[in-house]
Amino acid sequence: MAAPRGEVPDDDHLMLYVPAGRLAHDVDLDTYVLTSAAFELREDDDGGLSTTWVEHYGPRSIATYGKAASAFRASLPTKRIGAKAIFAIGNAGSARRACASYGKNIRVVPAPEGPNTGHVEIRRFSDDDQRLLDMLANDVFKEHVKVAVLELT
Amino acid sequence: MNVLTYPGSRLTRSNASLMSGAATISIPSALGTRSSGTSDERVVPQPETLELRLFNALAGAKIWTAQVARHLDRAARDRYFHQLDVLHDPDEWFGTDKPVSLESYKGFIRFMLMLGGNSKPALALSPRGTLLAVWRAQDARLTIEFLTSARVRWLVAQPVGEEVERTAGDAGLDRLLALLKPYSPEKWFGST
Repeated sequence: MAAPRGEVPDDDHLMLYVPAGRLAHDVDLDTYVLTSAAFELREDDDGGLSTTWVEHYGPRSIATYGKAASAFRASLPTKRIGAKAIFAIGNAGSARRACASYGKNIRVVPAPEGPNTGHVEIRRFSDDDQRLLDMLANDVFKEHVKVAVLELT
Repeated sequence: MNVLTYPGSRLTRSNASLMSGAATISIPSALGTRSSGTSDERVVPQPETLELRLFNALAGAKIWTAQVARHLDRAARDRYFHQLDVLHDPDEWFGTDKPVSLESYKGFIRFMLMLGGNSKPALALSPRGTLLAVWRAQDARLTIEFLTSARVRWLVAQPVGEEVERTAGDAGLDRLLALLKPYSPEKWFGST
């Protein structure tokens, strides 16, 4: 399944900001689990699930994650992201396939948002199937990077 | 007597003592204080700042917990309070996310009381303020979202060969343990 024209290519990656409160914390082990809560739509997610296109900012690396995270932060009204938050990174093609396996034909569409020219909306996405959200959390957005380790500009 | 008044509730030193140690309600400095005559009353201003919203939600949950404290052991109660504090860190708060709903929290506590035992789920908040509890045992996960004090959504994900089998449902809280029985929930909860 190739990415439709005008969408993020299957081989590229998406970064999803996950605030600390949406991570399931194990306070004894000081660890966290990414849960379905990370993929639930917010009140202001009217265009779809909001993510950032990694390769828009350069080849995939920790430095590029820092550039993408900085652009994401600059696009927020508060210009603030939490130090204990993470970015979860997933492959666009894997996200398409996961959603298709639950009957959702998503569109992964660039939608520049102010300074975040790499902003991407996952359209035709809904958060009503917990199984899909769990699959995205555990099988697709598997790479996590803590905000605290990123070099933000 | 020192009295802390905030919208919709009243916390005195006598019931505040129920929340000692790690389980205190800390008053955000942004809330301000007001002296009232000779009494030591402090009044929280009305504008609904982020700090106030988080404070109200946490205080509501902790005060309600104090009312049912006789059913909870102290270590469990302190642990839940600490988890709530971690989830409501104002420095980490994002956008329009909602703080914990008291009804969802009541559902969680009811379920933990139903379980008894000593299981220690990880907790997260949804953007709508519902509480999610996650139990893990090897590669098998159980996630329960407490929609209200009496209703849940649940998901079991466990490996079967090369695949991960996922089953989800929504149910009344009272039926949940029966519904989970085919998945050998003792691996998450211990013996209940």
